[in-house]
Amino acid sequence: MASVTFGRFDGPEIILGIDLGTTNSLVAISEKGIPRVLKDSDGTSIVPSVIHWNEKEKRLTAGVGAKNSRVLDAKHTAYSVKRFMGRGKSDLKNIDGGAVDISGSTDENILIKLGNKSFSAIELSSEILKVLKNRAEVSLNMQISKAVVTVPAYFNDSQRSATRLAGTLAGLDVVRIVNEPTAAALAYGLDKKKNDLIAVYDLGGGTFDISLLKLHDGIFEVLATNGDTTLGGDDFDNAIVDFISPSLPKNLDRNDIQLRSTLIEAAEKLKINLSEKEEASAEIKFHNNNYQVKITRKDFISLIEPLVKKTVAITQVALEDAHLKAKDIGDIVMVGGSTRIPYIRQTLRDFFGKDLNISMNPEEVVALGAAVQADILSGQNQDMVLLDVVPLSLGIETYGGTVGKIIHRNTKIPAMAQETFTTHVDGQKNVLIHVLQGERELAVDCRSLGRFNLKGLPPMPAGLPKIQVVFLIDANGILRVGAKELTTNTETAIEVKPSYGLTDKQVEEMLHQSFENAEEDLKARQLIDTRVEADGILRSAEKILKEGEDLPDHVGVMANVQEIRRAIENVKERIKGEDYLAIKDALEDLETAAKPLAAQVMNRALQAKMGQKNIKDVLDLKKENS
Amino acid sequence: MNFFELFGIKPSYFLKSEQLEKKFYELSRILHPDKVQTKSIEELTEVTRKSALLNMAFKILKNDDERAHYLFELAHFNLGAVKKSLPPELAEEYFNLQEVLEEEGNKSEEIQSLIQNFSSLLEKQVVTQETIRDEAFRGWEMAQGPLDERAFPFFTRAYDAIQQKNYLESMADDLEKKWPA
Repeated sequence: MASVTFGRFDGPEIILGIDLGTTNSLVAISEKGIPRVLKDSDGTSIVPSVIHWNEKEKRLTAGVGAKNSRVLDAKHTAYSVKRFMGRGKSDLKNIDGGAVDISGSTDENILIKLGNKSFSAIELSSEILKVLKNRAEVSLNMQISKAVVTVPAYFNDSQRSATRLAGTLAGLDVVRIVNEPTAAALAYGLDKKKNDLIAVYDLGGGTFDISLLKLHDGIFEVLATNGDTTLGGDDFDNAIVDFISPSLPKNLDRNDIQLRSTLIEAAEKLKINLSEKEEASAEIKFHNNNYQVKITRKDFISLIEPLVKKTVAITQVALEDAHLKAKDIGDIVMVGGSTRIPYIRQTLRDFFGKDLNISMNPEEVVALGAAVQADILSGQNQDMVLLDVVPLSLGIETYGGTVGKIIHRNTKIPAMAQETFTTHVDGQKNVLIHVLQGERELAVDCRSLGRFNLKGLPPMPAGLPKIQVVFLIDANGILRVGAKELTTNTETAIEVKPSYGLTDKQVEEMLHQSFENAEEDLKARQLIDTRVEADGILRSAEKILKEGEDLPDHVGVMANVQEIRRAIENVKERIKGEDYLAIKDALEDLETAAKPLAAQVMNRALQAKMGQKNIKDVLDLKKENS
Repeated sequence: MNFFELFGIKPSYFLKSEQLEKKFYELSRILHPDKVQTKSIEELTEVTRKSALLNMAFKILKNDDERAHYLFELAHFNLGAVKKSLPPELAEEYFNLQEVLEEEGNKSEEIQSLIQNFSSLLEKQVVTQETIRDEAFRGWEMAQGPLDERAFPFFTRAYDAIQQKNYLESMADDLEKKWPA
């Protein structure tokens, strides 16, 4: 833990800018309006988004150390957990678990099994955030409690809420969720005075986003955004794995997590090498055998072509939503490690008909932008304003299972909609509203955000109550709902049942658990300390017993000896247990019991030294002399 | 406060989009939640609500149809059910086109020229309806732009023209989808 010193910064408190990426994460801050990425003592800015569960020590670690475990201890190592944020079992058909065991997932949550324990993506992500928070605290020598965290623009409500919760678990108040491409635009447009239309093409490890922005005197206005939260560099890796696997001996178990991890790691290296070379090869080490695999750039292009075409089609939809044409775009900003792939760059150059802007470091630009947004929020940056949009339409399930849209995609946030509901039965006391997010017409095809139960309606004939419900999407893109019964003007209580992620109660339990864990850690330390203390007291008590044994038995020495022996036995018995408080009690008893005998033993020793004088006299004498 | 007042302009159908945008940016610099240092959750909700209203106002005012409907709403103008139909000038052409499309199948040259002809007729009609709409709103503004019953005769004409225009446009879209040029 970093030491806490205030006063290094006299201004408002520092808010971190965090890019919580699928593959890598970074933390940045703004100082005097200039954002910079914070590095560790080795000068590395990237924290691998990999988490390792140490079964022996019952401890999670994240970052570089955990990444090394990915091949060495694959069964206890999780990566790319961002794919699982705010998702449930039904989403599994869309996402590949890769080399992670997610078989124990529930409808509300995907659970990642690491050896003997299962974790939610939220818990694992919070470990990454803890590493970033700690890096900032050490580097700035101050305590940090607030952060701006980026998410893919196309993240839905539950994925955003899950991200914010991961922050809470890491001890960070996430003051703002910012869309990754928008953050990139903030960093890109920081020193640009010109007004322009820009496109941010963001292809990361697990997600794809396209955002179109209008830059106007410090106003960053998002015109449209679109994307795919299950398309990214991981998919390219998986495609390479499928391509190289047939060249391996048939008897190898393709489902072995260790083998899969090794293959994915090799695929990632092959992919990176193919950005420079026409052909790449790698050695697969498995069970003391080495296998050679290779792939050409041509093979790789044919593997990723359908995925890249999909990103272009999505870009086209965003352009249409913004009423723009490809040629209207002045600058195309490339973000995310996958945009280093030459084929992707060529495809986009052809699509937009102009050269791309690759001047920004595609790995750092999002974190830098998050730090700029943190600067805006802290009131330090007065010139810039970010006007973002909601990526997906918000709707309510109507009779027959269709969706009535109340806030359309690409509406500026904050956004608001009001709807009036009524009852269908006389005296009906509550109304259930099912809120969904997505573009499809049927409720089953959209993503359920939650069921809102409007409770405590005054008894009235059917159709008479008018319940006004206000749907408010805040600047984070997260929904809040409020309701009022208009005819009687009573506030209506709302009970929310989120369809995915965690309920408030689960969150509470999780926070409580982390608190309890801290308490348990403390107890363990106390137990060790108390046992050490007991050891010392037992030894001196036994010494006193030995020395006191031959004392003449007057004024109940024998009875005292018996008492001490009993107290010693009691302490020895308690030490075997885990309850340090019980040990402490027993020790206190022993000390009390040993006092009379100890005094007599000490008295005798002193008498021997002072020559038959009573100890009391010696003390009195001392007093007189002074 | 209505949306026009928020933007500091008098209710009108004819707005310059650049001016509207400039004012929106100005207001955003003040009203966006990021620009307001808040303390309590209640305060933040209120700030968020205000900012949402500004966004809603901008969205409505910058879109022709939405702005027209907002004016109707301000005047408590009851939107009657207007029958959308093909103007008589187009009915015969449309009938011919349908027949050719069904019978001839693949005589692409003839079909293309018929479609083109019909499309340009549609386009002309759209422009006509836009002119009627604009004239209606102009007439209303010349009459001092009242937001009560006095506006209804103008609004009735404007509304009919808007409905008709939208019908013709959706027809053109369908045609374009089925028989792309």
